[in-house]
Amino acid sequence: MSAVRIHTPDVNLAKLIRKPGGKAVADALSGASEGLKEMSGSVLAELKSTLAAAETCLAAKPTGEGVEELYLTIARPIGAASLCGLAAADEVLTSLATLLDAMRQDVPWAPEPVRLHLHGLGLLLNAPEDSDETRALVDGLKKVTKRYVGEAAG
Amino acid sequence: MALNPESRARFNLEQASILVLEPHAMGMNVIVEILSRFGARKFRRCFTVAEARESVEADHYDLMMVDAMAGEGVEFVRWLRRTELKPNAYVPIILMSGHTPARLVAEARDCGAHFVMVKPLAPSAVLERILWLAREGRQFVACDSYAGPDRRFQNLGVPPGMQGRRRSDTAEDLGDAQGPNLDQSLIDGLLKPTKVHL
Repeated sequence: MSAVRIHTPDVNLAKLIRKPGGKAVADALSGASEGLKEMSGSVLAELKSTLAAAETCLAAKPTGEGVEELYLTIARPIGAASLCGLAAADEVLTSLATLLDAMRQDVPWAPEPVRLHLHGLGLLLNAPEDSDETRALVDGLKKVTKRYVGEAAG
Repeated sequence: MALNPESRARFNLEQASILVLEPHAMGMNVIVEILSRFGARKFRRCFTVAEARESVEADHYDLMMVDAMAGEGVEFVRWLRRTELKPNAYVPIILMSGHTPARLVAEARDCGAHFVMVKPLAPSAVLERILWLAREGRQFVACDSYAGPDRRFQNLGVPPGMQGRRRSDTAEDLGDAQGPNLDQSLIDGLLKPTKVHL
């Protein structure tokens, strides 16, 4: 059995957070939501440039490091879109990241499902309203990923 | 741990030094925006692990928000917890992850971060965790395989058939009572309702 050392360190954050002044929880949360809403334009522009970078990467017929680069291009922006009212775009990015992660491990490279995801993402970024069509598109792309990743697992 | 979003309770992050390790500019902007709206002002923005290592060797921080960065961020937290860089080695760390492949989940859990949060980071969830970290004086554990905060959220005692490794762990077999039990009249006395004048 290895030696276990246990101690309770001082948490400076605990002292700072209790100092007079600061913000009320309600004000902080409403301010943060407002701030994220204000960012939605720049997030949308950034997602469009991510899409363009991914399409360039795909056109170069990536192998090895190229697939890794494509994975990072897609995985890094995950999370920002949902905060700005584009949750469907995040779902597509996550689905594509799962697919690319499998492809950089043991699933054979196939450009078609990647292209489908990028095409779907492009549609969502240009018409980001939540609708039945959007839901159907996202669900369809998730099924594509499941099919490719599942086939490799089975 | 639920946070009431209508609460007027106040907290102060103005003096807190916060290191944010996030490789993506948009992700960085989102985190800094959320924390700025919480009142934080002192940020160190690091886009690479190399920058973050340099920063923790030079300055003290009160909170770190670290992206898992497909494993690099996880390694950074593990490295930091093993260093002698006090107080940074014990600083509250929230590990964030956008896409976490299954093989990274256990690594992220075991790297020594206080919390692992999956993006998108809802402001209320972030604040809830920051307030929790600032309220609790959590114990730190260091052994061959792990260095970081105590991950036990519940104290359920030592697993059956095992021996406790802590002074506070009680033996599985509690033995006989060492003193007389309270009699019923004493218990009733403790519970007897009394008038209170306010």
